Amino acid sequence: MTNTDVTEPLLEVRDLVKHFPVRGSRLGRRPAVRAVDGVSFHIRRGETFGLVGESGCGKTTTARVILRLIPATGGHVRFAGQDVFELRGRDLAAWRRQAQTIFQDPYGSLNPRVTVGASIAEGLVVHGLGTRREREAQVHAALTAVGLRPEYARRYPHEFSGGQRQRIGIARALVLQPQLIVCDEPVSALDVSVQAQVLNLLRDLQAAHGLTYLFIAHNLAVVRYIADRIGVMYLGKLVETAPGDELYREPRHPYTQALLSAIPQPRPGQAQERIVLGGDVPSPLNPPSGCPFHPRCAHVLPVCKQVMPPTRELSPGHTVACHLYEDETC
Amino acid sequence: MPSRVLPAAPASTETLQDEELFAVGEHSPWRAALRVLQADRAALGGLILLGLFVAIAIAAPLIAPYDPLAIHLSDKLQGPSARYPLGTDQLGRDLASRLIYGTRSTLGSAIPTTIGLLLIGLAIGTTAGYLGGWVDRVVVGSIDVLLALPRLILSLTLVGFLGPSLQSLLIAIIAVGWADHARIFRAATLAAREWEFVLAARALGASDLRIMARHILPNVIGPIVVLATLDLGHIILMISSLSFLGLGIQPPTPEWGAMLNDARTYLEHAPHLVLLPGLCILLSVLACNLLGDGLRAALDPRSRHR
Repeated sequence: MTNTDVTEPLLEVRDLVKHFPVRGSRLGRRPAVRAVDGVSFHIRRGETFGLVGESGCGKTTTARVILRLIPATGGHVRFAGQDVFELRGRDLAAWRRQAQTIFQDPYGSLNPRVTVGASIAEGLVVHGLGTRREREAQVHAALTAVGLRPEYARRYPHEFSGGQRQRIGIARALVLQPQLIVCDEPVSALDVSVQAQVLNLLRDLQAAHGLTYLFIAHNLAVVRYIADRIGVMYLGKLVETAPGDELYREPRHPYTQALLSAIPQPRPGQAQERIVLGGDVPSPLNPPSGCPFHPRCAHVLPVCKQVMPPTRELSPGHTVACHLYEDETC
Repeated sequence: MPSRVLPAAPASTETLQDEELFAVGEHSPWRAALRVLQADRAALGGLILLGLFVAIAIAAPLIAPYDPLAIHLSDKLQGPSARYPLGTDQLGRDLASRLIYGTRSTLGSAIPTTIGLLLIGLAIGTTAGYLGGWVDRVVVGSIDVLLALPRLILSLTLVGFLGPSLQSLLIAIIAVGWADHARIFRAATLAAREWEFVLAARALGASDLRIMARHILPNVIGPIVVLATLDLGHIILMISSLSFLGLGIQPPTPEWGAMLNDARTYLEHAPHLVLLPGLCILLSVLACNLLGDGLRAALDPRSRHR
């Protein structure tokens, strides 16, 4: 996947696997939900990497495994050269400061019994940063940075709207001055006008603080707006990765093509032909053999049913895992 | 980015002090709960009544006019008079003093039992919920079996096996009652593990202890308090019922249920001997239920008034 980049990636994910064992299994064989099944990508410093896919494809699990909120089944995550899964004790704590997260549900991600100020200050307290007064100042600064009034620090989450709460969540991540922020569907729960405000805020903060984002979403328009490069996930696997513009201009994987054709067109006259997928997403408990997409693919080849296609680089930075492009490599 | 600042919220009326930033402000859930309690007459009544019973239990030796065990055979089965404010029972013991000391024995056994039940339920339930796997399966299985058995019969059997005494009564109540609590705490633990703010705290690097103390307990304490209050009522009933049946607190120790049993024979001649202990049971259980329901509403952050 490496090419002519000069900058070393801040985050490098290699062959990440997360299987959830299923309870109540019988007869010796232990089935598992293959939530993440061999995902590799990297994010350069200051870049936004968008991860898209439909519900249940493993986006959130990927994020949580990277953040070590749940243990990985296999694979490696390197952050600024460090092996994240090897970190213990003090090193782990120091790393947690560097990698923060913003959650999807603005109502669930703030403790209802703690003031907003205390929620934002929690990371500082946990890491023993600053005196009480310095922490207050930092909380005020973080609130101002996300466009809220510093006085809001002493209020409780239920007094805020969804968009305001999401800003509070951003302030909580920001106050630790992290390098990487994992945004797990940060605007999916908001209405469209507020989505735009929060997306603009995220962009401004990225420019001001040199942040790197892993941005997870199921809304392709949102990802297109914010992401520099985009990875498309299907059933626990990354099927295509490309720079944002290129992905939209020239999608290669049949699944990506179907996804993009499903975006509603603002101008009805220009409506393009929609590719309608047949059937449902197969169960990650028992994924299809070969390519996970083959039962729904319009261009399916005999080999697709047998062999998982390897990931190939078709043009610089554009990788696809599909047998249709067997002969094309750059 | 001033252009993207959200419309300003209505300015708060009070002036803001920086020192108050992290202090318990006026939006503290406990204070808000207190305020709701003040508005909820029924819950307040329950609180006052329960407080009154507790005060009586504590101050029993100071306020009881007689020794509850002192027998005055010449004055037996009297109605209320200046000498005996609530009359006397079949042995001429002062009913008022017996009711006052009865409060002590009933509450004195019901409150520790409630706390014991909660602690055991908390320990078993959170362990099962946190560990999962076979521990969880064993616990859930036991709970299901226990909840499928009729409780009164089960506790009667246990008391009969252990021999009637206060101690066996309490063991029976806890042995039969822990399942309910364990189930609730297990469910709470399972839910708490998925709360996004718990994940957020872990992502910030907070320790398990901090997460338990700051994020999980404060959010389940409401249900625990409600459960404890409602439970106290059930346990008072249970202790009185079993004592009425002669299986709990033994005569001559004054206890409401046992007093009811003693007075059955004299229902026609001295109905107050039945009515007054019965009223005490009724009022104490009612107080617990009113307070419990009021607290449940007050501690729910969504129903809290600003």
